[in-house]
Amino acid sequence: MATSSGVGELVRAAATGDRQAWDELVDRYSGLLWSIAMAYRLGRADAADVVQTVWLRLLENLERLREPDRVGAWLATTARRECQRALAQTRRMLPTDDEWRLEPRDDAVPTPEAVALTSERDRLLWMAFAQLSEQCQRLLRILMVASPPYEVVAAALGMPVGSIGPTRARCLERLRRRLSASGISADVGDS
Amino acid sequence: MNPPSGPDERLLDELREVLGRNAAPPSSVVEAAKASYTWRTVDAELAELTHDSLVDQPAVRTRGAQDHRALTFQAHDLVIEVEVSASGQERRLLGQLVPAQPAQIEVRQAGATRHIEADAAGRFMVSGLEARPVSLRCRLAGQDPVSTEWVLI
Repeated sequence: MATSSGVGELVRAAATGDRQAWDELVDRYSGLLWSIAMAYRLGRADAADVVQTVWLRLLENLERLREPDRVGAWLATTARRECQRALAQTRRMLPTDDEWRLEPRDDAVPTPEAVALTSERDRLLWMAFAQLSEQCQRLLRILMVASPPYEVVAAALGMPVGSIGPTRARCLERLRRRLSASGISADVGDS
Repeated sequence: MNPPSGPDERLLDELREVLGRNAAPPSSVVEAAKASYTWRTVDAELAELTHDSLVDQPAVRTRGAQDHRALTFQAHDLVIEVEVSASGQERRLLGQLVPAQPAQIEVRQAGATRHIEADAAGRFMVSGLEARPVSLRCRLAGQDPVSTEWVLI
Protein backbone atom coordinates (compact mmCIF):
# COMPACT_ATOMS: atom_id res chain seq x y z
CA MET A 1 0.00 0.00 0.00
CA ALA A 2 1.25 3.47 -0.79
CA THR A 3 2.29 5.67 2.09
CA SER A 4 -0.20 8.01 3.59
CA SER A 5 1.28 11.02 1.82
CA GLY A 6 -1.10 12.13 -0.88
CA VAL A 7 -4.27 10.49 0.37
CA GLY A 8 -5.33 13.73 2.01
CA GLU A 9 -5.18 15.37 -1.40
CA LEU A 10 -7.22 12.56 -2.92
CA VAL A 11 -9.91 12.94 -0.27
CA ARG A 12 -10.09 16.70 -0.77
CA ALA A 13 -10.23 16.30 -4.54
CA ALA A 14 -12.92 13.62 -4.37
CA ALA A 15 -14.91 15.94 -2.11
CA THR A 16 -14.99 18.56 -4.85
CA GLY A 17 -16.18 16.28 -7.64
CA ASP A 18 -12.93 14.71 -8.86
CA ARG A 19 -14.03 11.22 -9.85
CA GLN A 20 -10.53 10.03 -10.68
CA ALA A 21 -9.43 10.87 -7.16
CA TRP A 22 -12.26 8.69 -5.88
CA ASP A 23 -11.22 5.82 -8.12
CA GLU A 24 -7.67 6.17 -6.83
CA LEU A 25 -8.86 5.95 -3.24
CA VAL A 26 -10.85 2.82 -4.09
CA ASP A 27 -7.82 1.25 -5.72
CA ARG A 28 -5.61 2.05 -2.76
CA TYR A 29 -7.85 0.78 0.01
CA SER A 30 -10.04 -1.98 -1.44
CA GLY A 31 -7.49 -4.64 -0.54
CA LEU A 32 -7.40 -3.48 3.05
CA LEU A 33 -11.18 -3.35 3.41
CA TRP A 34 -11.63 -6.79 1.91
CA SER A 35 -8.96 -8.23 4.20
CA ILE A 36 -10.75 -6.77 7.23
CA ALA A 37 -14.01 -8.42 6.19
CA MET A 38 -12.16 -11.71 5.68
CA ALA A 39 -10.42 -11.28 9.03
CA TYR A 40 -13.84 -11.01 10.72
CA ARG A 41 -14.85 -14.16 8.85
CA LEU A 42 -17.66 -12.71 6.82
CA GLY A 43 -18.83 -14.74 3.87
CA ARG A 44 -18.08 -13.23 0.50
CA ALA A 45 -21.58 -11.87 -0.09
CA ASP A 46 -21.70 -10.21 3.33
CA ALA A 47 -18.15 -8.92 2.83
CA ALA A 48 -19.16 -7.33 -0.46
CA ASP A 49 -22.12 -5.60 1.22
CA VAL A 50 -19.99 -4.38 4.13
CA VAL A 51 -17.25 -3.03 1.89
CA GLN A 52 -19.83 -1.24 -0.24
CA THR A 53 -21.39 0.30 2.87
CA VAL A 54 -17.98 1.56 4.03
CA TRP A 55 -17.35 3.28 0.68
CA LEU A 56 -20.78 4.89 0.72
CA ARG A 57 -20.11 6.14 4.24
CA LEU A 58 -16.84 7.67 3.10
CA LEU A 59 -18.58 9.26 0.14
CA GLU A 60 -21.00 11.17 2.32
CA ASN A 61 -18.29 12.13 4.81
CA LEU A 62 -15.64 13.30 2.33
CA GLU A 63 -16.08 16.94 3.29
CA ARG A 64 -16.49 16.21 6.98
CA LEU A 65 -13.34 14.21 7.71
CA ARG A 66 -11.35 16.07 10.35
CA GLU A 67 -8.08 14.54 9.19
CA PRO A 68 -8.19 13.62 5.48
CA ASP A 69 -4.60 12.36 5.69
CA ARG A 70 -5.74 9.65 8.09
CA VAL A 71 -8.50 8.32 5.89
CA GLY A 72 -6.92 4.85 6.08
CA ALA A 73 -7.57 4.63 9.80
CA TRP A 74 -11.06 6.09 9.29
CA LEU A 75 -11.86 3.44 6.70
CA ALA A 76 -10.47 0.68 8.91
CA THR A 77 -12.52 1.81 11.92
CA THR A 78 -15.66 2.05 9.82
CA ALA A 79 -15.00 -1.40 8.35
CA ARG A 80 -14.53 -2.91 11.80
CA ARG A 81 -17.82 -1.46 13.01
CA GLU A 82 -19.71 -2.59 9.93
CA CYS A 83 -18.25 -6.10 10.23
CA GLN A 84 -19.37 -6.24 13.86
CA ARG A 85 -22.80 -5.03 12.82
CA ALA A 86 -23.02 -7.69 10.14
CA LEU A 87 -21.97 -10.39 12.61
CA ALA A 88 -24.56 -9.14 15.11
CA GLN A 89 -27.18 -9.37 12.39
CA THR A 90 -26.19 -12.95 11.60
CA ARG A 91 -26.26 -13.96 15.26
CA ARG A 92 -29.68 -12.41 15.65
CA MET A 93 -31.14 -14.41 12.82
CA LEU A 94 -30.16 -17.77 14.21
CA PRO A 95 -32.59 -19.99 16.10
CA THR A 96 -31.83 -20.50 19.73
CA ASP A 97 -31.91 -24.29 19.73
CA ASP A 98 -28.93 -25.80 21.45
CA GLU A 99 -27.97 -27.90 18.49
CA TRP A 100 -27.44 -24.80 16.34
CA ARG A 101 -24.07 -23.11 16.69
CA LEU A 102 -22.82 -20.02 15.02
CA GLU A 103 -20.55 -21.37 12.32
CA PRO A 104 -18.83 -18.45 10.67
CA ARG A 105 -18.61 -18.96 6.99
CA ASP A 106 -15.04 -18.73 5.98
CA ASP A 107 -14.67 -18.82 2.23
CA ALA A 108 -10.94 -18.35 2.60
CA VAL A 109 -10.62 -21.88 3.94
CA PRO A 110 -9.41 -23.94 1.01
CA THR A 111 -11.47 -26.85 -0.14
CA PRO A 112 -9.93 -30.30 0.35
CA GLU A 113 -9.25 -30.40 -3.38
CA ALA A 114 -7.43 -27.08 -3.30
CA VAL A 115 -5.41 -28.21 -0.32
CA ALA A 116 -4.48 -31.42 -2.10
CA LEU A 117 -3.10 -29.43 -5.00
CA THR A 118 -0.73 -27.40 -2.90
CA SER A 119 2.53 -28.58 -1.48
CA GLU A 120 2.78 -30.42 1.81
CA ARG A 121 4.47 -27.39 3.30
CA ASP A 122 1.64 -25.10 2.22
CA ARG A 123 -0.88 -27.45 3.75
CA LEU A 124 1.00 -27.59 7.04
CA LEU A 125 1.34 -23.83 7.06
CA TRP A 126 -2.39 -23.56 6.55
CA MET A 127 -3.15 -26.04 9.35
CA ALA A 128 -0.77 -24.28 11.73
CA PHE A 129 -2.35 -20.92 10.92
CA ALA A 130 -5.84 -22.28 11.45
CA GLN A 131 -4.87 -23.40 14.95
CA LEU A 132 -3.88 -19.93 16.05
CA SER A 133 -6.18 -17.89 18.26
CA GLU A 134 -8.91 -15.87 16.60
CA GLN A 135 -7.08 -12.68 17.48
CA CYS A 136 -3.85 -13.87 15.87
CA GLN A 137 -5.60 -15.05 12.72
CA ARG A 138 -7.40 -11.75 12.44
CA LEU A 139 -4.22 -9.73 12.93
CA LEU A 140 -2.19 -11.75 10.46
CA ARG A 141 -4.89 -11.67 7.78
CA ILE A 142 -4.83 -7.89 7.88
CA LEU A 143 -1.04 -7.64 8.08
CA MET A 144 -0.70 -9.85 5.02
CA VAL A 145 -2.23 -7.19 2.81
CA ALA A 146 0.71 -4.97 1.81
CA SER A 147 1.72 -4.29 5.42
CA PRO A 148 -0.58 -1.42 6.35
CA PRO A 149 0.66 1.11 8.92
CA TYR A 150 0.14 -0.05 12.49
CA GLU A 151 -2.27 2.83 13.06
CA VAL A 152 -4.54 1.38 10.40
CA VAL A 153 -4.19 -2.17 11.73
CA ALA A 154 -5.04 -0.94 15.22
CA ALA A 155 -8.16 0.78 13.89
CA ALA A 156 -9.21 -2.40 12.08
CA LEU A 157 -8.85 -4.49 15.21
CA GLY A 158 -9.95 -2.01 17.85
CA MET A 159 -6.62 -2.45 19.65
CA PRO A 160 -4.17 0.16 20.94
CA VAL A 161 -1.58 0.98 18.30
CA GLY A 162 1.26 0.22 20.72
CA SER A 163 0.12 -3.37 21.08
CA ILE A 164 0.25 -4.22 17.38
CA GLY A 165 4.01 -4.77 17.18
CA PRO A 166 4.24 -7.06 20.24
CA THR A 167 1.10 -8.97 19.25
CA ARG A 168 2.44 -9.44 15.74
CA ALA A 169 5.69 -10.84 17.11
CA ARG A 170 3.87 -13.11 19.54
CA CYS A 171 1.50 -14.49 16.89
CA LEU A 172 4.29 -15.17 14.43
CA GLU A 173 6.30 -16.91 17.15
CA ARG A 174 3.33 -19.14 17.96
CA LEU A 175 2.94 -19.93 14.29
CA ARG A 176 6.61 -20.78 14.08
CA ARG A 177 6.33 -23.12 17.08
CA ARG A 178 3.33 -24.92 15.60
CA LEU A 179 5.18 -25.32 12.34
CA SER A 180 8.17 -26.92 14.01
CA ALA A 181 5.79 -29.11 16.01
CA SER A 182 4.52 -30.38 12.66
CA GLY A 183 8.07 -31.28 11.91
CA ILE A 184 9.00 -28.57 9.43
CA SER A 185 11.29 -25.65 9.81
CA ALA A 186 9.76 -22.20 9.82
CA ASP A 187 12.50 -20.76 7.65
CA VAL A 188 11.97 -20.89 3.91
CA GLY A 189 14.72 -22.75 2.18
CA ASP A 190 15.29 -25.26 4.96
CA SER A 191 13.37 -28.22 3.61
CA MET B 1 6.37 2.39 11.17
CA ASN B 2 6.89 -1.34 10.77
CA PRO B 3 10.33 -2.30 12.05
CA PRO B 4 12.03 -4.78 9.74
CA SER B 5 12.54 -8.20 11.27
CA GLY B 6 14.12 -10.90 9.14
CA PRO B 7 12.50 -14.17 10.22
CA ASP B 8 9.14 -12.52 10.98
CA GLU B 9 9.07 -10.81 7.61
CA ARG B 10 9.90 -14.05 5.82
CA LEU B 11 7.18 -15.96 7.64
CA LEU B 12 4.68 -13.24 6.87
CA ASP B 13 5.72 -13.30 3.22
CA GLU B 14 5.19 -17.04 3.13
CA LEU B 15 1.78 -16.70 4.77
CA ARG B 16 0.93 -14.05 2.22
CA GLU B 17 1.87 -16.38 -0.57
CA VAL B 18 -0.16 -19.29 0.74
CA LEU B 19 -3.22 -17.52 2.15
CA GLY B 20 -3.07 -14.52 -0.10
CA ARG B 21 -3.94 -16.43 -3.24
CA ASN B 22 -7.64 -15.81 -2.79
CA ALA B 23 -7.34 -12.73 -0.63
CA ALA B 24 -7.74 -10.03 -3.28
CA PRO B 25 -11.11 -8.30 -3.44
CA PRO B 26 -13.28 -9.45 -6.34
CA SER B 27 -13.17 -6.99 -9.22
CA SER B 28 -16.95 -6.62 -8.92
CA VAL B 29 -16.47 -5.22 -5.42
CA VAL B 30 -13.88 -2.73 -6.63
CA GLU B 31 -16.00 -1.68 -9.59
CA ALA B 32 -19.11 -1.27 -7.44
CA ALA B 33 -17.15 0.97 -5.10
CA LYS B 34 -16.01 3.18 -7.97
CA ALA B 35 -19.50 3.30 -9.43
CA SER B 36 -20.95 4.38 -6.09
CA TYR B 37 -19.53 7.86 -6.67
CA THR B 38 -22.78 8.61 -8.48
CA TRP B 39 -24.57 8.52 -5.12
CA ARG B 40 -22.67 11.60 -4.07
CA THR B 41 -24.94 14.41 -2.88
CA VAL B 42 -23.77 17.95 -2.36
CA ASP B 43 -26.87 19.75 -1.23
CA ALA B 44 -28.21 17.56 1.54
CA GLU B 45 -27.54 17.72 5.25
CA LEU B 46 -26.33 14.42 6.67
CA ALA B 47 -28.49 12.78 9.34
CA GLU B 48 -26.08 10.67 11.36
CA LEU B 49 -26.92 7.24 12.67
CA THR B 50 -26.94 7.86 16.41
CA HIS B 51 -28.62 4.70 17.59
CA ASP B 52 -28.76 1.16 16.24
CA SER B 53 -30.48 -1.40 18.43
CA LEU B 54 -28.43 -4.10 16.75
CA VAL B 55 -25.22 -2.92 18.41
CA ASP B 56 -26.35 -0.55 21.10
CA GLN B 57 -28.22 -3.18 23.08
CA PRO B 58 -27.19 -6.66 24.14
CA ALA B 59 -27.87 -9.10 21.33
CA VAL B 60 -31.17 -10.85 21.81
CA ARG B 61 -31.67 -13.94 19.76
CA THR B 62 -35.20 -14.23 18.58
CA ARG B 63 -36.84 -17.05 16.79
CA GLY B 64 -38.85 -16.57 13.68
CA ALA B 65 -38.69 -14.69 10.45
CA GLN B 66 -39.63 -11.25 11.78
CA ASP B 67 -36.87 -9.23 13.32
CA HIS B 68 -37.15 -5.63 14.40
CA ARG B 69 -34.22 -3.32 14.44
CA ALA B 70 -34.53 0.30 15.60
CA LEU B 71 -32.44 3.00 13.94
CA THR B 72 -32.25 6.69 14.86
CA PHE B 73 -30.84 9.30 12.50
CA GLN B 74 -30.18 12.85 13.64
CA ALA B 75 -29.81 16.04 11.69
CA HIS B 76 -29.84 19.54 13.17
CA ASP B 77 -33.58 20.05 13.14
CA LEU B 78 -34.85 16.63 12.32
CA VAL B 79 -34.82 13.16 13.82
CA ILE B 80 -35.76 10.15 11.72
CA GLU B 81 -36.76 7.02 13.58
CA VAL B 82 -36.81 3.86 11.52
CA GLU B 83 -37.87 0.36 12.42
CA VAL B 84 -36.43 -2.31 10.15
CA SER B 85 -38.16 -5.65 9.87
CA ALA B 86 -36.89 -8.62 7.92
CA SER B 87 -38.70 -11.39 6.17
CA GLY B 88 -36.09 -13.66 4.67
CA GLN B 89 -33.99 -11.48 2.41
CA GLU B 90 -36.61 -8.72 2.15
CA ARG B 91 -36.59 -5.61 4.28
CA ARG B 92 -39.36 -3.27 5.33
CA LEU B 93 -38.94 0.16 6.89
CA LEU B 94 -41.45 1.85 9.17
CA GLY B 95 -40.50 5.43 9.82
CA GLN B 96 -41.32 8.51 11.84
CA LEU B 97 -40.11 12.06 11.35
CA VAL B 98 -39.65 14.17 14.47
CA PRO B 99 -40.98 16.83 14.65
CA ALA B 100 -43.91 15.28 12.83
CA GLN B 101 -44.31 16.74 9.35
CA PRO B 102 -44.98 15.63 5.81
CA ALA B 103 -42.08 15.03 3.45
CA GLN B 104 -41.07 13.61 0.10
CA ILE B 105 -38.67 10.76 0.67
CA GLU B 106 -36.36 9.17 -1.85
CA VAL B 107 -35.45 5.70 -0.68
CA ARG B 108 -32.00 5.18 -2.18
CA GLN B 109 -30.83 1.66 -2.72
CA ALA B 110 -28.88 0.28 -5.63
CA GLY B 111 -31.39 -1.08 -8.11
CA ALA B 112 -34.39 -0.36 -5.88
CA THR B 113 -34.66 3.43 -5.53
CA ARG B 114 -38.21 4.66 -5.11
CA HIS B 115 -40.14 7.72 -4.03
CA ILE B 116 -42.54 7.70 -1.12
CA GLU B 117 -44.19 10.23 1.14
CA ALA B 118 -44.36 10.82 4.85
CA ASP B 119 -47.90 11.81 5.85
CA ALA B 120 -48.90 14.84 7.90
CA ALA B 121 -48.00 12.91 11.06
CA GLY B 122 -44.53 12.27 9.67
CA ARG B 123 -45.10 8.55 9.21
CA PHE B 124 -43.88 6.51 6.27
CA MET B 125 -43.49 2.91 5.23
CA VAL B 126 -41.63 1.15 2.47
CA SER B 127 -41.40 -2.56 1.86
CA GLY B 128 -39.78 -4.88 -0.64
CA LEU B 129 -36.30 -3.49 -0.08
CA GLU B 130 -33.21 -5.62 -0.36
CA ALA B 131 -30.76 -6.53 2.39
CA ARG B 132 -28.26 -3.96 1.08
CA PRO B 133 -27.13 -0.43 1.95
CA VAL B 134 -29.94 2.11 2.01
CA SER B 135 -30.18 5.88 2.51
CA LEU B 136 -33.24 8.08 2.85
CA ARG B 137 -33.22 11.49 1.26
CA CYS B 138 -35.96 13.62 2.79
CA ARG B 139 -37.30 16.79 1.22
CA LEU B 140 -39.13 18.97 3.72
CA ALA B 141 -40.89 22.26 3.26
CA GLY B 142 -38.62 25.24 3.80
CA GLN B 143 -35.47 23.26 4.62
CA ASP B 144 -32.47 21.83 2.87
CA PRO B 145 -32.90 18.17 2.07
CA VAL B 146 -31.66 15.71 4.68
CA SER B 147 -29.96 12.41 3.79
CA THR B 148 -29.51 9.60 6.28
CA GLU B 149 -26.16 7.86 6.65
CA TRP B 150 -25.97 4.73 4.56
CA VAL B 151 -26.89 1.67 6.57
CA LEU B 152 -26.72 -1.97 5.61
CA ILE B 153 -30.16 -3.34 6.45
